[in-house]
Formats: sequence, C-alpha cells, structure tokens
Amino acid sequence: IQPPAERPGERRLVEMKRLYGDDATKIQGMETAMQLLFDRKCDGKQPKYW
Amino acid sequence: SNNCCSSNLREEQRSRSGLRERFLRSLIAMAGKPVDFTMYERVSVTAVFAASDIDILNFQVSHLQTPLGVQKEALLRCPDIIAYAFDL
Repeated sequence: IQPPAERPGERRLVEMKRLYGDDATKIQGMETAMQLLFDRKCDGKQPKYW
Repeated sequence: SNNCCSSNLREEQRSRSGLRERFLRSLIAMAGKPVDFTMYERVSVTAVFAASDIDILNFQVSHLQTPLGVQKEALLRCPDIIAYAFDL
C-alpha cells in the first residue's frame, strides 16, 4: 500500500490562495467556523428537507 | 507587463475576499433572526435562520411556517430559494 500522493485539503488551499491571495487563510477560517456550526446544529436537531 | 498583471490579480483577489467576507458576515448576522424566503411557484415562507453549510447549498432553519403548518426543524435547499430578506 502506497501513502497518499497528496495531502488532503492541499488542492483546496491552492484554490483558496488563487481566489483570495493573502486573505485566503482568513476566509478559509471563517468558512470552517461556519461549517462546524452547521454540522454541530444538524447533528443535534436532525432536520429534514422541506 | 508582468507587474501590471500581478497587481491586477492582487486587486481582484482583494475585491473577491472583501465580497466573500461581507457575504459570510451577513449570514452570521442572520443567525437567530426570522427570515422571509421567496421560493418557486409563488410560495413564501418564514423561518428562523440557524446556519448554512459552506457551499451555500443548504440553509438550516427552525419554526418553518409552511402553508401546511409549522415544521420545528428543517433544511431548505438553497437552489429552491429565489430571494430572502431579514431585518437587521
């Protein structure tokens, strides 16, 4: 078994850098915080599609 | 020249990150507030916004007032939404 050829998330980081330049880490941080909040609330409430 | 292109690119990235940050902040500001959603087929519904996933595909809402009653917790597919409005 070979190790993974690329690190997970690396491609996304390159894309973020291309889009947002120096602000890439800031934007990615905001997005990660938002996604975590969404996941946490969904885990607790188990909402269904309307 | 190369200099001009790289400064254009930086300018473009700055604008893009500025717009993205404002949009993300507007979603954060909407959390816990009642929001009016205009959906397709002339349906409009009100719900308390909770959170969005990062691809802006799903809005998680509470107390969704549908034409057929109130749904306590629900997910709205963002592509189904034409517009939304809330008071700051």
